[in-house]
Amino acid sequence: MVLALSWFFGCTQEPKKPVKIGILHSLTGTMAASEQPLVDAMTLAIEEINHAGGILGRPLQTVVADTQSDPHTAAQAAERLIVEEQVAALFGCWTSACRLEVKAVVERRQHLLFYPLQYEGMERSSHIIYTGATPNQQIIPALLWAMEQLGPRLYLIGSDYLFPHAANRLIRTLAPSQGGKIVAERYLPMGSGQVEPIITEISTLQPDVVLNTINGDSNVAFFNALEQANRNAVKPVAVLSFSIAEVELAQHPGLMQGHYAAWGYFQSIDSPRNRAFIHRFRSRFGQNRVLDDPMEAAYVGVHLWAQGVNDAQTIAPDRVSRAVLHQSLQAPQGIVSLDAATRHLWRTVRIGRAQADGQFALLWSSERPVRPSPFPAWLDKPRADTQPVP
Amino acid sequence: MTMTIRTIQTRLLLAMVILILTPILILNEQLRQTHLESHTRALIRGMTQIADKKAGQIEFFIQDHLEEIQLLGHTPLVIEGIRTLQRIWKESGPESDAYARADTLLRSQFAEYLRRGHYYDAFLIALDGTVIFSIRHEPDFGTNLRTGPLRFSELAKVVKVARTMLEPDFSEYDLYPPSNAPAAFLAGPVMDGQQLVGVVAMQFDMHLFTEVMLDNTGLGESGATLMARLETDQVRFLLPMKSDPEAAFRRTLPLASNDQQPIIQAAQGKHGSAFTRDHQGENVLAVWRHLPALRVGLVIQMNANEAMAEFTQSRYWEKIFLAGVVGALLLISWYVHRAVVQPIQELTRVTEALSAGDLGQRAWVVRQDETGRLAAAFNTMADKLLTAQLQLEERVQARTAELHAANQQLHMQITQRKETEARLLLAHKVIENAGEAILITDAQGFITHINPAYERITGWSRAQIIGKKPSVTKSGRHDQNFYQQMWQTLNDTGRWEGEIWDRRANGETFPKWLSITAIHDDQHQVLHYVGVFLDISQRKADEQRLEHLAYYDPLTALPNRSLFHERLEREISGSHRQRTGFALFFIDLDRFKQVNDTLGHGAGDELLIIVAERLLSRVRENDTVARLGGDEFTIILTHVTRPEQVSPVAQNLLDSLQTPLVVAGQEVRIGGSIGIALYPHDGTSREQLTQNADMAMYLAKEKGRNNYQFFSKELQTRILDRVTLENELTKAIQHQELLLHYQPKFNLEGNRVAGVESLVRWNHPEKGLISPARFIPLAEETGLILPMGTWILEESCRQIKIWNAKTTHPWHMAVNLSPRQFQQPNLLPLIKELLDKTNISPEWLELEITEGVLMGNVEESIAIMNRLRDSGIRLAMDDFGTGYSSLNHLKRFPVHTLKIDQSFVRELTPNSTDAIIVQAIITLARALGLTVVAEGVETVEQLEFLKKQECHLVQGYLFSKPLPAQDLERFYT
Repeated sequence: MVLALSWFFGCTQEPKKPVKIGILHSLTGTMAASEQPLVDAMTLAIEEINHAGGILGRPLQTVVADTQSDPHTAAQAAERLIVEEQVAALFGCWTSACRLEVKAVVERRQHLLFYPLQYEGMERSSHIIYTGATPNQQIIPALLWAMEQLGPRLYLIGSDYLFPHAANRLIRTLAPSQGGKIVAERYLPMGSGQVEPIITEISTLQPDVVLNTINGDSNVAFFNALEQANRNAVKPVAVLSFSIAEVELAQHPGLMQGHYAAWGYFQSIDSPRNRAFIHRFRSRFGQNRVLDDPMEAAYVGVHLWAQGVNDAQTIAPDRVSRAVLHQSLQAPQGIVSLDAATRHLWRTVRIGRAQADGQFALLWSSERPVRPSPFPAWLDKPRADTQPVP
Repeated sequence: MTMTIRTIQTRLLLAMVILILTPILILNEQLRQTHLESHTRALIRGMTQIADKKAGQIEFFIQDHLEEIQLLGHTPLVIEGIRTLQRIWKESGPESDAYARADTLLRSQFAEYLRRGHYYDAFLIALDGTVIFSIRHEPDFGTNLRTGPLRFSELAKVVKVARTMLEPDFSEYDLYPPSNAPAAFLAGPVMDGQQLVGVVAMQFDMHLFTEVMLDNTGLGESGATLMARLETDQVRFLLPMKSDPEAAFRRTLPLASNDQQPIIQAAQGKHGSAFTRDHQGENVLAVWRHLPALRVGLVIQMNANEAMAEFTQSRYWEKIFLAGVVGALLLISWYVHRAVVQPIQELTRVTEALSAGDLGQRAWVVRQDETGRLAAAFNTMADKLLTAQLQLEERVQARTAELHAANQQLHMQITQRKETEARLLLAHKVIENAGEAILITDAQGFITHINPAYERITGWSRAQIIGKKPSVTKSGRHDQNFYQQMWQTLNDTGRWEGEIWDRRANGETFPKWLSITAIHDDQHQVLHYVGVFLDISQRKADEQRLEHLAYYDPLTALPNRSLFHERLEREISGSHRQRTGFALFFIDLDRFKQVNDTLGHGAGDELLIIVAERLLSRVRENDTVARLGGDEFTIILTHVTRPEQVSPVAQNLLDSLQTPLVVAGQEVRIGGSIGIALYPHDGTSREQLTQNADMAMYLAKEKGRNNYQFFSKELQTRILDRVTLENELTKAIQHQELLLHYQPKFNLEGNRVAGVESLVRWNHPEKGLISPARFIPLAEETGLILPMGTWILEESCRQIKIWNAKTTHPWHMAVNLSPRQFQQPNLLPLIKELLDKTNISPEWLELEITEGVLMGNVEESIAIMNRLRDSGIRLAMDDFGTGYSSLNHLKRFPVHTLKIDQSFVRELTPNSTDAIIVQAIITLARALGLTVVAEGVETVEQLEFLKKQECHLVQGYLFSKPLPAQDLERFYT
C-alpha cells in the first residue's frame, strides 16, 4: 500500500520538446533584400512568445528554409518542412507566384500557411491565413483619396507581372464610376531601367497623379528620371505607390520625397505601442534598422497563430486553422482581427507622404479597421472556394 | 536520561508526520490541482464556445444581410425606382402627385422586405446624397447625407462606402438622432450593369439583436453578456445590464487604472479568458472577444463562486476526510504514549533511582502487557536486590547494567512495530476512503486490490474482479492500437494518463480519466501497477449539452442550420475524397401554416416534432435530417449517386408525411414538397447545392405540392425565365405596356350591346403581345396583380365614363376580379375611391368573380359581396358550372348575373350532356331572378339553342372578339 502512494513523490517532469514552425523566405536571389527583414520580424515575435513561456508550455523553434527567390524551390521546401521537420505551421512567401505554389502543397497536406503580403485578392484557401491587405484595404481607398485630393486624370504604371495587372484591372473598372479618367496604362519588364519613353509620355499627358505598381530596382530609375522631368515642369507630377515601403527606401532615402504611398502600417505611426515595437526590434537587430508593412504583417501573423494554438490547446494545423479565425490583437498598426469568412484581416488603411529620411508623414487614415473584401462585389467573377472547406 | 525519553517521543511524532501526514498532504494537494485545472478548463471551454457562437451569430447575421443588400441593389425594381424617384424629385419635388404614385409602388415592395428582415426603415439615396425615399419619413427623409446635418452619422458613413467603393457595408451599432434609438445600418450600391445609379440603405430594428446578445443560456444564474466600444479615454457599454437596465449607451468606464478589465481588453482588440474582477469589482470567470464588424468588445462572464460551486463542494468533503485522518493520528500517538512511553518512563525513573543507590524505589505500572510484567519482575528483582544488597552489591550492579540494556532493546523493538502498524493502517485508510477509484495489479497485470470507490463507480465487486486482468472491463471502443500505445508509454516512462472508455458491471460504457503508474523495487523491477481514475461521464455530458445547445434545434432535437451547414461541408469533402455522391433534400411542409393559424402555435410545434420523428424513421442512421427553421427541413442522403437510388426514399418520405396525424386532439393532414440536388452532378459547393435543392423544391410546390422534383439545368433556366418575366412585368406596369381590350355582350338578336367585359393585354416592346394565360397567374402569385388590378379597374371606369356620356342606354362594364384582389382587405374603400375619382355611377360597374374563389370561404365571401352590392355595384359569377357551388349557396350569393363557362357552350349540340347542363343553369338562374350570360358563342347553332332556352345575353367571336376601345365605337346606336 505504501508503494501505491510512492509514485506521487517519484514523478518528475521531463523537459518539454520544442514546437517547430517553418519559415519560407528568400535569403538569396533577387527577393532576398525584401524578404530577409520579414524573418527578423518573425524572430522577434517568436522570442517574445518564448520569453513569456512558449506555447502550451513548450518553447518555439524556427526552421528557416531559403526559397532562393524561386516559387518551385519554395514548394519543395514547404513539402520538406511539413513531412520531415513536422512543423506546426508555415510562415512565408512574398510573391503571388510563390504563394500559389505553396498553396497547392498546404492544401494537399491539409496544413496551414500565413501569408504576410498585400496582394491582388480573388483567393480564399482554407489552408492559408492572409495577414496583408486586400485591394479594398489599400489600392481602392488610396485611388479614391488620390482622385479627390490630386485630381481625376490617372496614369497607370507597373511592372509586367500578376499584381500590377490585377491592381490596374480593379482601377480600370472602378475609377470611371467615380469620375476618374485613365490617360494611359503602361508596363515595364521586370528589372528594366528603360524609363525614358514613359517619363516623356507622362510629361506630355500631364496626369493629375501616377498610380505606381513598379516593383524593385526599376523604381530607382523611374523616380530619378521623374525628378529630372519635374524640375523643368510647370506643375510637377505626383506619384502614389503601392509596392514601395520603408525597407526599400532605406537604400535611397530621398528617392520618393514628396510622393505618396498607401499601406496599413508605417514606421512613423505615433503610438506608445508602435514606439515600443520599434524599440524592441532595434534593440534586438540594430539601431539603424527600419520597419514596414510586410514586416509588421509577418510579426502579427506569428502572434495570431500562437493565440490560436492557445485557444485550440493543440498544435494540430486543422484545429489551429479554425481557432485562429476567432482571434484579434492590438498590433503596432492598431487593432487587427481575423475575418472568419474570408480568412483575411480587418486592417486600417493609411496614406503617407515620403520625407527626405525615407520615412512617411501620415496624411490620411481610415477611421476604423476595414472589412477585407478579397472578391470585390462589383467584379464579375465567380466566388468559389479553391477547395471544399473541411 | 530525561532528554532521551523526550527524544523518543519526539521521534515518534516526527516519524508519523514525515512518513504519513506529509504524503497525504502532498497527494491531496496534487489531486486538488489536477481537479481544479480540469474543472477550470472545462468551464472556460464551455464559455469560449458560447462567446464564439455569439460572435459567429453576429458575423453570420451581418454577412447574410450584406449579401441581401448586394442583391437588392441589382434588382430592376430598385434600379428603376431610384431612377424614377431621382427624376421626379428634380422635376417636381417630393410633394407632387407623381412622387406619391412612385412612392406608393415602391413602398408596397419594400414592405415585404421590412416585414421579413428585421428592418426598421428603408432608404434610397440619390447620387448627390439626398435621401429621396424612406418608409418612415423620419427627419432624415429629404436631407443630404454629404452636406446635411446627418453627414457624420453612421448612415452617412455606410452610404459613402457603398457609393465610393461599390461595396455593401454594415455600420457600427450606435444611437441615431432621428429615431433616437440604437440603430445599425446597411447600405449597398444600386448598379445598373457597371453603372452606379444610387444607394439603397436599411436601418435595423435592433431589438432582436439585443435579445440574442442578452441570451445567457449556459451561463448559470449570474451569467452576463457585456458589450462596449472604445472611445478616447473610456469605453461605453452598449447593452443593458441586470444591475442597471439603463446602462446601454449611458454607462461608461474610464480606461485609466482599469486596463486589466476584460471589457476594456476586449474593446481594445484583445482576446482571452481568466478569473478576474469585473467592472463592478465582482469576482468573475470571463471570456472576452473583439468583434471587428461592430468595433466592440464582447465579454461573457459568470460569478466565480457560482462557476466553482461544484468544485468547492467536493473540496469541503476532502477537508473533512483530512481532518479525520489527522485526528486518528493524534489518537494513535496518545495511545502509544500511554501504553509504551509512560511505563518506560516509570521504569526508567525507578532504574535511575536504583542505580543512584536508592533501593527502596519501586516501579508503579499497572498493566497486563509486557511492560506490566516487566515492571513486576523488575520490582521483585529490586526486592531481592535489596535483601542481598550487601553480599551481592557488585553482582547486582552488573545485573542492573544488563537489565538496563535489555530494557532498551525491548523498548526499541516495540516502538518500531507500532510505527509500521500505524503507517500501514493509514495508507489503507487513504486508499479505502479515496473519492477516486484505485486499482492495483501485480507485475503480470492481474488485479490484486480495488477500493470501494472502484466498486461504487464501476459496479464490479471485489469477488468479480480480483485475480482478473483490467481488460475484462474494456468497452470495445478503442482499437488494439490504442492499448498498444498505452502499454508502450507505460513501459517507457512508467506513467500513462488519458481518457479511456470502460464498461460498468451493468454493461453501460462510460468515459474515465485514468492515471496508471508502475511501482518499481530497488532493482527497477516492476512490482505493481497502480491505476487511479475519475468517472468523467458527467463532465462529458455537460460538454455535450453545451454543444447540443449550439448545434441543435431545441424543439425537434434535429441539427440546426449551423450544424447542417457543417455536415454538408463535411459530406462534400468526404464524398470528394471517396469519389462517391450524396443527395440533398429540401422539404417544405404543405398546409403547415393553416395548422399554425387555426390550431395555434402549440399545435404547430407538436406537428413539427411528429414530422421530425417521421423523417428520421425513414432514413438511414448515417443520413442527416436537419431543421433550418419554420417548416423547412433538409436531409443529406449519403452514398447515393443516381436518381433511381433516391426516388424511392423521396416517395417514402412523401408517403409518411401524408399519413394523417393528430395534434391538439384534431386529426390533420399535411403533405410535403421535396426538392433534390445530387452531389456532384448538381453542384460541388454548399451554396450551389442548397440553392439548387431549394429551386427544385420551389418547382415541386409549383407542381401542386405533395411531389418531389430533381434539380435540372432546364429547371434553372425555367426559373430564370420566370424571374425575367416577373421583372419585365413589374416594368410593364410602370411603363404602361399594359392595355385593355373590350368584348361586347349582346342581346339574343345580336343587335344591341348591353355591356362590355374588359380584358387586359400586355404589349411587350420586344416580344409583342403576351398571352394573359402566361402573365396573369404569375402576377397573381407575386402580388403584382394588386397594382395591376387597380390600374385595370381605374382604366375601365374611365373608359365607360367616356362611352356612357354619349348614349342614353348605358353599358355595363364588367371587370374581372382575381382571387387575391377579392381578398384584399381594402377592396371596398379602393373601389369607392375609384368611383369617386372617375365619377361614374356604381351600377355601371360589374365585378366578375369566379365561382372557385367564392367557394373558398363561403361566409366571408358572402359578407364581402354584400358590402359591394350595398354600395350599388353589380356582381357576376364567372365560369359558372366549373366549381362546386351548391344550390343552397347560390341562393345566398348576392349576385346579379351568372356567366356560363365557355367550356359548356363550346360543346353545345342538342341532347348532349352539356346541353342539359346549360339548360339547367338557365332555368335555375331564371328561377332565382338572375341575368344569364353565355360566354364563348362561336356558331349559329349554339346561338339558336340559347335562344330556345331564353338565355338573356351572349358573348363570343360570333359577334365580336375583344377589341381596342376605339374599334367599339361602331356598336353605338
